[in-house]
Amino acid sequence: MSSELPMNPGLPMNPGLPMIRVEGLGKKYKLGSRGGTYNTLRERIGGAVKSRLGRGAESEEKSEFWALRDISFEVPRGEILGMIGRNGAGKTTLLKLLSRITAPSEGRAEIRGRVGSLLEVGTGFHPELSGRENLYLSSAILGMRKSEIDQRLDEIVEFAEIRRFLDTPIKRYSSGMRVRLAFSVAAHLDPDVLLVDEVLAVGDFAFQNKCLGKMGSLHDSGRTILLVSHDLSVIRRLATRVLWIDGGKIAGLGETVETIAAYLESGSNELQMGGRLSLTEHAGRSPRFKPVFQEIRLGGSDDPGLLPMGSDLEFELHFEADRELHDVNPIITLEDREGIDVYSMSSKMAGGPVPEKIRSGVFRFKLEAPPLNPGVYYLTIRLLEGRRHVDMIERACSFEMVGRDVYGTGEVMDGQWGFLAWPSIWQLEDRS
Amino acid sequence: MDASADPNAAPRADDSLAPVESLPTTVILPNRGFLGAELVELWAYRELLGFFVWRDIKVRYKQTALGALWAILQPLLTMVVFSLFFGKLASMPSDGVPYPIFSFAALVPWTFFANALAASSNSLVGSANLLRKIYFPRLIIPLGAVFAGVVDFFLAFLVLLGMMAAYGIMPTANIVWLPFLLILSVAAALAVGLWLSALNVEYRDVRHTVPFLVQLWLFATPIAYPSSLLAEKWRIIYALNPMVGVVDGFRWALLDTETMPGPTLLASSSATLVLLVAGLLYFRRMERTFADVV
Repeated sequence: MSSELPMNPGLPMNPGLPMIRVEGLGKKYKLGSRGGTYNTLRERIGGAVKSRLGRGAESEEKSEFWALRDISFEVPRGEILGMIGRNGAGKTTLLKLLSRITAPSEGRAEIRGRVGSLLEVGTGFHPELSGRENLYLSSAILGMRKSEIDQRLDEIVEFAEIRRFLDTPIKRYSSGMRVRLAFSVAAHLDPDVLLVDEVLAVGDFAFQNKCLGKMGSLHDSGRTILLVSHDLSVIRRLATRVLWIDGGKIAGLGETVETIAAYLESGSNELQMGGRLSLTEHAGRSPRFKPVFQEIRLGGSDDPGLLPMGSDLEFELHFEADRELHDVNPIITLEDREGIDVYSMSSKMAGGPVPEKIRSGVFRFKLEAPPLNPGVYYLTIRLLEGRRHVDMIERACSFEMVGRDVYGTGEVMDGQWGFLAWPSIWQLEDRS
Repeated sequence: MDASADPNAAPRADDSLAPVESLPTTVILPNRGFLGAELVELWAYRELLGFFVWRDIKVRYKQTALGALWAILQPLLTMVVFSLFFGKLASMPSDGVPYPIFSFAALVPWTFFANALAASSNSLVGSANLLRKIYFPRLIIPLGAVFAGVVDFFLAFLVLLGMMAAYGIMPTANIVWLPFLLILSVAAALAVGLWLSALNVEYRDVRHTVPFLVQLWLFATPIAYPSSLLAEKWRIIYALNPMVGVVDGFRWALLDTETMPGPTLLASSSATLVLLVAGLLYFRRMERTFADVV
């Protein structure tokens, strides 16, 4: 292959064979067989009778849908390809096809080298077995040899910080310990290609950071990673390129910052000032959470839809759980248009209430004159019970900061001045 | 699927990355390759099979007061009941062997078969979480469920040998056939298990059918009664039930009963083989969508 040929301008210069090549991949589901209800023979027999009567064929076609179609892309070695998109866009389906969990309906894909997939941490753990036993079991399920596990045992245990509990049945582990053990096993797989789905949304922050670091070092040693995350800050930090999937098709593929920006602009949950937004069926909630946040309300401005610079921003978070929650601590994160975290705060950190026992209620908080420049900002909310997430909604809502003559100069700030509104003093020494 | 894409390939030194060209390629297509490639892959995953068997054995008697004793109690108590009702009350003939040992020699392989059948039938559904999240040859799951029962079989078999000693019965030289008979019962349990486990993924009716099926099967197999009760002309058709060959074989090899199991074994083995190959093909056709349906 001649390297003098001009490369596809949309792709970075990466000579050599790709690690992943996907061509026209598609996956079709039958609607009836996808949900939680399973078929019984009775239904099947009933269906057969119906189609004999000539009514079945039509409904058969309607009950199919393409979760993914016409997907083609290549991933060169050493890339971390971040995958973004709304819930149900087809990200997980793509990972399942690539990890061979389910077969495609059309198209083809090629992956080079050893593939490690991590679609859920702790898959295959058995509660009755000890940490050590589960470590071996889980490693074997992920495709490691016993000899390799023996070699890496210390490393894995060290990373997971569970040495003292190695011989305790994991049914006595906290969920945090389980996650640490699970991720540690996966991180030490040493695959050529690693497929990761949304696994970092669990666990405490310190460990999440450690995991991100581990992925970074896997990348540094030349591994290729396909990473799905709702957390755009993770994608921003790790991904070398981003694949944006929407409605089962590729909506964008390219440079990280640009693709994320395009994705964020494509849809927003804009919330009017003084308005309210139901959160019970919010697309930004990861499917692993049962809705605890019920509603969010914004106040603090007389001008609906916009928040003038310099005004206070007030929120109400209405929550209701199906059981008693303990040590409840809400966290809010403000993100700018490009997905950069601008601000994070928790009730606990701010010295606010952390109720010991509560099932339902309203958290109110006020940000005093947020020093933010004009632009659209997104609010991500989490609810922690102790150190565990009980709910989390990415970009639950957005609001727009509007420019004002905050510095009293007759100049109105616009969106080209960074996100931080920070008064400054300028002086000049005239030496002419 | 390229069989050379062995995920268990030998570990390599950490820092040296092999050139891309030299890495094995996994090709993902809507249709799977030929059955042979899959069996090669199964071999590559043999360690995982071992882990599943080990897990099942380890977990089975956790938090039970009697532990592995259950493996023995089940056939032993059935034998006691059978001896009382069929042996004493109904005076069932037993090919010239004391009834308790006559029935126990059959109950040992039967208990294995029945448990292995039930375990493998529910194995895929029980591993739904794995099926949805990880790839490995799906065959490993029902296979592991069947193999895990072999340990229980050996425990019960030891008791059988003890009983034979107590009754003063020496095994005949035909005992060399026992491994074959064990393999036959493993194959039979697997053959039916493949069908039922794959069916169970889509139709949970199977779960309700299995106990009933096992019960009927028990009476269709010469466990409480000798197969010599049947008229000669029906024997070959009767032996299409794989467990007829296994049970008659056990009695013949251990207790030297007069049943010449040659034709019976041939019929049972052939039936098992047909059932097993058909089961493998059916399983293979269904496994592509297990993750979507389960």
